[in-house]
Amino acid sequence: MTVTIRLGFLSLSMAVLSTGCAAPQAAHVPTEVPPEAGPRREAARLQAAQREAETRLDELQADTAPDCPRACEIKEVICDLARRICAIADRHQGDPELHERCQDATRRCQRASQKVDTRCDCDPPGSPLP
Amino acid sequence: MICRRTTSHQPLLSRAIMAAAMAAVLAGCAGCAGRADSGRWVRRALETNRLADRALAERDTATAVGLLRDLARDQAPAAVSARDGRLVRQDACFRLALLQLQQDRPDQALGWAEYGLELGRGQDLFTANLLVARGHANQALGHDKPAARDYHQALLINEDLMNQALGRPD
Repeated sequence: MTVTIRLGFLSLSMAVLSTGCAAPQAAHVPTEVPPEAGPRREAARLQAAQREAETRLDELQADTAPDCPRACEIKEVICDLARRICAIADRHQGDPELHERCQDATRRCQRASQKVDTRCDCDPPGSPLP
Repeated sequence: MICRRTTSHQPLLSRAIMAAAMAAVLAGCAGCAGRADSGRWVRRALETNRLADRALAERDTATAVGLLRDLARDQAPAAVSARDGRLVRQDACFRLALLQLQQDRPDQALGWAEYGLELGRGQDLFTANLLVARGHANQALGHDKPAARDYHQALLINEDLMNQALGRPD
């Protein structure tokens, strides 16, 4: 959460730099410095900091042990819901909205299964894979 | 907290996960608010859930429904955060909806699920479970399309919750 807030702050800082600050500062910079060079440099620095923070966030998330019992259970819930949606769609063949919901739900069930199965042993204990 | 009590294979999170989530909500209420009335409200919410569990264990559904109905309608004091108050009341609404489904009263179940969802929504299992309960009620009433919509919305929330459980926000 802290990282998210920090990233949000960085984005906000960059937005402020790229809009409100550029015009007034251009009148005061020395002539040999290209207009807006200061804000651009600062924006570049902030972008680099944001990339670094994102990399760190990825590392932290990779290090975080998954809550496998919960993830396994939610995966089952997702796939149960997908089956229910498709059962309804089967009863209403030719309904495009239901057909689309079934397809989307099925895709999400498959993706959930892939994601969880790569990190957790769900059969039966729900523990992280080594 | 109750889950998986109406039919053999409902797409709802287990009692253990729901109970842990509700305990976390109530612990948060008790720890942060620091006012006498919020403490009383939290204790009463815990006690009401416990008494409802006991009534259900004794097959006294009427008592359980009465207790949960009072909790669902009981607005939290100002010292309790709006979110915590919503979650406690939504859990009661969810339990009521499931009890009504068990008793083949889908119209009543629909009413409680709607009431719970009108309290607010979030990307949390309380909202997801209310959507599933409303989906069941809609399906039992023959409203297949709204049911599919509810299930789909619940699925999307559960997808977020799964990513959180895996430690990934994507």
